[in-house]
Amino acid sequence: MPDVSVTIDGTQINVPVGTNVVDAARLAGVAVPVFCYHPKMKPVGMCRMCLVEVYTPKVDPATRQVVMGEDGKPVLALMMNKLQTGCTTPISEGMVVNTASDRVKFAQKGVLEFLLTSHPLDCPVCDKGGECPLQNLTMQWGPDSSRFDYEDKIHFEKPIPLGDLILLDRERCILCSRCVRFEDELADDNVLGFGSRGRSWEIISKSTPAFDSKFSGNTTDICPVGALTSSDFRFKARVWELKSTPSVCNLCPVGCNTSLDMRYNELMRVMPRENDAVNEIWVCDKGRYGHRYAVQENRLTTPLIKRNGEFVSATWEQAYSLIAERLGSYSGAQVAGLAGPKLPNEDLFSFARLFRENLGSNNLDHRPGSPADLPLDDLPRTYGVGKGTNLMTLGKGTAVLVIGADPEEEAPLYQLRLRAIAQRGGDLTVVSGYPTKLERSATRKVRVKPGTEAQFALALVQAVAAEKLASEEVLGSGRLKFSDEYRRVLAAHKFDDLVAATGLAREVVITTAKAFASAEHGIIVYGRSAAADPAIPQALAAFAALTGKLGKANSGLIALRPGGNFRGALDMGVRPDAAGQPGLSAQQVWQQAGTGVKAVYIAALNPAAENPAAAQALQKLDFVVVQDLFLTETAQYADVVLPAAAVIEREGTFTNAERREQRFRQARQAPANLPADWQSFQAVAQLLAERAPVAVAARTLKKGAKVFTPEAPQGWTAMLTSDVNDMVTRSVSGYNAASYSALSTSRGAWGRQPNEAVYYDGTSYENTEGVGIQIAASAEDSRTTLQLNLSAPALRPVGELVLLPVARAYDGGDWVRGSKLSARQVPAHIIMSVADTARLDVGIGELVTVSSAAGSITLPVQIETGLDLGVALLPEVRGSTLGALLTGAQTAITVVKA
Amino acid sequence: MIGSLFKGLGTTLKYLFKKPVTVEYPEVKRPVRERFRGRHQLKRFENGMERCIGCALCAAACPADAILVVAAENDPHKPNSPGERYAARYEINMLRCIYCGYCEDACPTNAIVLEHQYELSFYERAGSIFTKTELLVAPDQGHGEIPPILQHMNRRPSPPAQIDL
Amino acid sequence: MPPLTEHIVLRDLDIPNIRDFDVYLQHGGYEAFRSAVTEKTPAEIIGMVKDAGLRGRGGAGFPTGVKWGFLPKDVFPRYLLCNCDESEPGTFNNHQIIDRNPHQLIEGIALSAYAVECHTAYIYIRGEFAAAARTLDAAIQNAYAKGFLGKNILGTGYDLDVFVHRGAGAYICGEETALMESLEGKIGQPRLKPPFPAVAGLYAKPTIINNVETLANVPMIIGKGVQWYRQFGTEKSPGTKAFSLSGHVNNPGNYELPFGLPLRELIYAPEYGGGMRGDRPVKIVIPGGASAPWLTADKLDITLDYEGVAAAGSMLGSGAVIVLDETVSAVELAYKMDEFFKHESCGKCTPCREGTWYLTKVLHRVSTGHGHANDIPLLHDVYNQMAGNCFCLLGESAVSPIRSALKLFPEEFEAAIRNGTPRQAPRLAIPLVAVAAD
Repeated sequence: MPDVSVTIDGTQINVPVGTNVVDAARLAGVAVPVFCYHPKMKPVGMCRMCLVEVYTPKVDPATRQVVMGEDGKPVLALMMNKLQTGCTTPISEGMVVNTASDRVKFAQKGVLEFLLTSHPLDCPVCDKGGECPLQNLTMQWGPDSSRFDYEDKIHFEKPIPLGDLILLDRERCILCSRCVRFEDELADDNVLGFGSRGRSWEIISKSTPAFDSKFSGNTTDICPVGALTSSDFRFKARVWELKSTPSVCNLCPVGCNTSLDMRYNELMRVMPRENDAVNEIWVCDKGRYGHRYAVQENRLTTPLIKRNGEFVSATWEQAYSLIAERLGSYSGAQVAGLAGPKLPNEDLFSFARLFRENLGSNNLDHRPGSPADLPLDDLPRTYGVGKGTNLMTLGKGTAVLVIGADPEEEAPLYQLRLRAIAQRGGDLTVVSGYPTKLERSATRKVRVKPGTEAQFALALVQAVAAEKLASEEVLGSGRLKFSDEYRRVLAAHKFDDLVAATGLAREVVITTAKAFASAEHGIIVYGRSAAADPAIPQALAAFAALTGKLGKANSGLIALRPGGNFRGALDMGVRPDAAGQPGLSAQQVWQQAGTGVKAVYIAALNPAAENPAAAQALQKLDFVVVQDLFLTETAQYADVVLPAAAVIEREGTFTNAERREQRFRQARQAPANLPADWQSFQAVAQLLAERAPVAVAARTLKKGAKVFTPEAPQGWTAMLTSDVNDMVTRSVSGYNAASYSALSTSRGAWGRQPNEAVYYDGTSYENTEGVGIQIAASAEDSRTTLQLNLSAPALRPVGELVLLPVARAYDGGDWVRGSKLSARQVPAHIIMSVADTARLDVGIGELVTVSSAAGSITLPVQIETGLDLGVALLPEVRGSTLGALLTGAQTAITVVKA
Repeated sequence: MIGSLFKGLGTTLKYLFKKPVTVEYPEVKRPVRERFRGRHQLKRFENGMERCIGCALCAAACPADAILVVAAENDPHKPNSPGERYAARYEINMLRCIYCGYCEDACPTNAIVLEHQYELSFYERAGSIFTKTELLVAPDQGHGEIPPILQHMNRRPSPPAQIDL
Repeated sequence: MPPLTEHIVLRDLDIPNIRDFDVYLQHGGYEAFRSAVTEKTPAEIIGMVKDAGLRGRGGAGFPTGVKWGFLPKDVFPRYLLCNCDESEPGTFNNHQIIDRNPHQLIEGIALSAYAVECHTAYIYIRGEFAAAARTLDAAIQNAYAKGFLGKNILGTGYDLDVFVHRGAGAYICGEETALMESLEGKIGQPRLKPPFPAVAGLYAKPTIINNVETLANVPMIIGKGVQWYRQFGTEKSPGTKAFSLSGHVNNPGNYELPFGLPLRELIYAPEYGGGMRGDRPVKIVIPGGASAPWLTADKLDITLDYEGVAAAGSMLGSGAVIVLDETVSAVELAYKMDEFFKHESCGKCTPCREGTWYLTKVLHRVSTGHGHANDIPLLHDVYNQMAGNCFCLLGESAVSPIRSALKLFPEEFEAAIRNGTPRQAPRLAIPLVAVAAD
């Protein structure tokens, strides 16, 4: 973009065309105070705080030439002959802005005096006090005393709950509409609005349930006064008492940077920490209100050993030696380890080492072993978005293909970030078999027949050949290798048949393929529904590779799988196929429980909760160790239960869906000095190593990706988490640059500057502790050859209805404990189309019995108007016992009224 | 030399008939000055409501970090203090306190006052922490009107708010 | 200047029962429209309106033909809006046009829509004008029945639909962008400009918005020609203006005058105002509705056209001439008017929302005799903090009564504050209560 030259308070500066005066002044180091203007939203010019004098060169109307004065400089004219709001005035060449004249000061003082006439001035009891722009601006620009009679102030009922999470104090509200605009513009939740007018204008909630947004907490951040407060933090503490610890949310694969605000050892609130490549300045409600589980009273604090069917407290030594003794008594093939994808990388790495090196077992998995498990898919390691990817910078010239994903439910922040790309001019295609919220923001909404995303993806690959969309560069490089299966599958599936299966017009597939192929940057986001069929990621990887959208920044695949650190689990090798002979997957472990498998070590997973088969299998095992924060359903079956420190009580790293490794710090002393998970793994490993030297070092690697390459035995001598991380950087491919110091020193936030108290974009915290490091995709190395493979799409099962499991953000998991979001958790239900419910004669909330070849369950019904006939969606929430029903990616079911 | 001896004895003799400056503490206690800063008290309003609104400005002002305030929301039907907020916990560590009176200056409601009690000795360290029950004066010892700002904060008029439209 | 032999917009004064469709048709109704759609191009009509020098009657006096020319080429659909929100206090000429001469307005809308090549026109009518809205609806039905509206009008292939939309009675919805917001079903609040309505107006499409009286002029310009039209009025303000005369005159009402007549004539001529009630002297004249600055008796000889009124320091606005005699207290008048603006402020921008409230508070205490010693400088400060700093013109309008009052009658404010008791008992229609009674 060309630059224009402007003068702001005597400083000449070049700024890009289209910059507004407030932003330009900021670049010049001049603070223009604002209330309603927010850099992430369209300016509205409502609060009138940013009034400045703007002079433009006088233009002769006849000649359209700038009039020159006697001194050879252009004659300046005050724009519209009055003060202008800086936020709505774009910069133009030769503009001269004066932000400090008497006239400007008088106007700014006036606006502040006006705002304060209706403000209650109850700063001592206000939660915003201490981080309040109105306080700051009044100090700097405001009048020193009020001429308004206190008795004349208006008083309102307060607080008014806008929803169960956010409360409104109308007296403090200055009606800047930031909250309304955030929900409308950025979140696309039309839940807030205005009522009445004039001085009784007020913010109201328009939705049922009230303020039904997954991003509602952000409105309290950007509220420039204390009008919006969260019920989670209300009156908890004064902000200056808080000590902030940088952290990373592990509740979904976005990996939002957060700040844990502690008072002494108590968690007071969770705030977003800016990271433009991850969460900008936002965090979803789950990330903000979903971390209270760690401070629950019913946390486990001592190891428990089951004796005669009863759990009794034990010392750590007793527990560790029992575990080592029992696990060591089996052969490698007889033990299995399951570690949840919410654990940090260091724990997952140690867990994998414990099993592969000390126990000689490859029976490792990060999935719970339910039929709802997604097949292993590590294509983003190769074809993932490249190093330096930053969705915040993308707009025009970017094509985003979202397929089989409901980002708001699976990784909520992607809803904001992908919508923002579309708003900035990017091309957003949303392919889905059922209604998702993101498709409202899409440039191209493609609704395929449910369960035919695979055919659509394959049709895209076919379209590349048919329309000659392949990238010459990539084809010419000779890096692509096509398997026989690839050719066979392509030959067996004709383009027209595939398109017909999806129920779309031919042109839709072709325009989608063309839009993607012709864009400068191409990103494919695929989620739960797409990952359920391995054919889909393969076809998407082939499509991205053929069109040249690989191995570079801002191009490639992003997978959204369950678990905040699923990427770390795949990279650290907590998967059966990472090294040597592939071991048993979690599902196989349950099948072979009692026969092939005798003992299982489960960390941070709760397979018994949703899968009756797992619960039965656990009973057949000789020895079960469960390591978790709470005495979960699974822990009930354990022989030894080990407590562990929660995320906020230790440090470590997570790798997010874009393969950005980020470090989080310890915010709190763990109760009873509980060890981190890796410390327990190490303690067990040390005891095992005493018993027998390292059993089998897994060195023979599975063909293809190098995953787990331990050097010569490294011993179990880590003292600090950073010692484990050192081993990770030495052992795990791609992680060699991601040392703790590197993770902490990398900067690149979107540019806060001095005077941020004035130029207010919210209470998100400045990122001073590192923005993380993106792990390069292997396709970025131009020497790697890329083996493309395809498989035939899963056939749609024949049955009365097809059941598709769908992800939910509020899934009722363990994180809900103690959270204000517990009221938002929905009980298990099945979602059906209008036509199907009419046929079955069931209404909303009525019970139906759903049966498949695997079993049957009884659930209440919800009706979704946008859903196709013959499809039912089963949200994965606590209590849905999906495991009892599913037979594959898609399950044929029959439904009868219960 | 003899002269010095008599001079000294003379002085002693002189004071023998003067009123002694010392008092027999603790049986006798000397009154303190009006502005003496002794042990804190948390005051109440005339109507018995606590003056403290839990704003923690005293804790912020305290140079010795001796004050802990944990606020909570008032039950609108049975408020402890005017307004929405009150101090659920209020503790002062008298071993840390330096009796500077900054907390008094910071208090927006004149809730905390350094009073004239100076007999602060403890058998154990925990005893030095004075909690709200010890600091708060009796309900019948309140004084002063609730200022309008606090009156309004507690008032919850039923909607619609009283604006003429 | 020739006396007005024939009314241009208030033709109901010349032709009784022109509100009946048949009567309207007998007197040349829809002939201008018929000739336009069959013989003239849209550009020709815009040219005629430009040549006639028709200026917007809604307040700003912007040349209508020029405004129509601002539409971007080749962007469709376009919309024509007829602003009949007539919310300016003192204005009531639109109501008379709609009530007594509705067909001329419909014809004007049809002609203008044809000129700007739009196929959908909306009449945004003030919610309180329920009867007038029914009249308009009936007139539109008549026009549809005769084929002047609808599909393929008069066989020319031109389509036009006209809808009447009733507002909910907000002053701000007379502001063009707020009107559009309201028409779109949103809260009636002004939009940020630019983009201007001609570029992105209703539903973000190019939109022309004109006042009722402006549009009612168009059939006469097209029907009788530019030369005929320009014989009335002045060079810069051709044509006539329907003035709404109210206040302490003997004969208040709507009077259609050619531009350029002296203000004195409107007030004192027997055929118009007929002099002041009780022959009291004029104290204040507000020549353009509540938002216009006030004039005093020494300005009675100004001419009633845009330039003449502007030269005297006021504005012609919507042509609502409010004449007040000396029984009126300037303090109370300023208070009542700011009370109105406070009531009508939409709340979007701070200076207007809070400033009108602040002004009303202070003016209330001054007018009831409880003024503070420094209230006059305070009032000066407050209106200066509003003037020029508001989002739309409502805030500016709210400044004008108090600014005029303080400029023209400072002694009344001083007296009110000094004497402590009001000269007259306050007449407060709306009680001002800030805090609920204890």
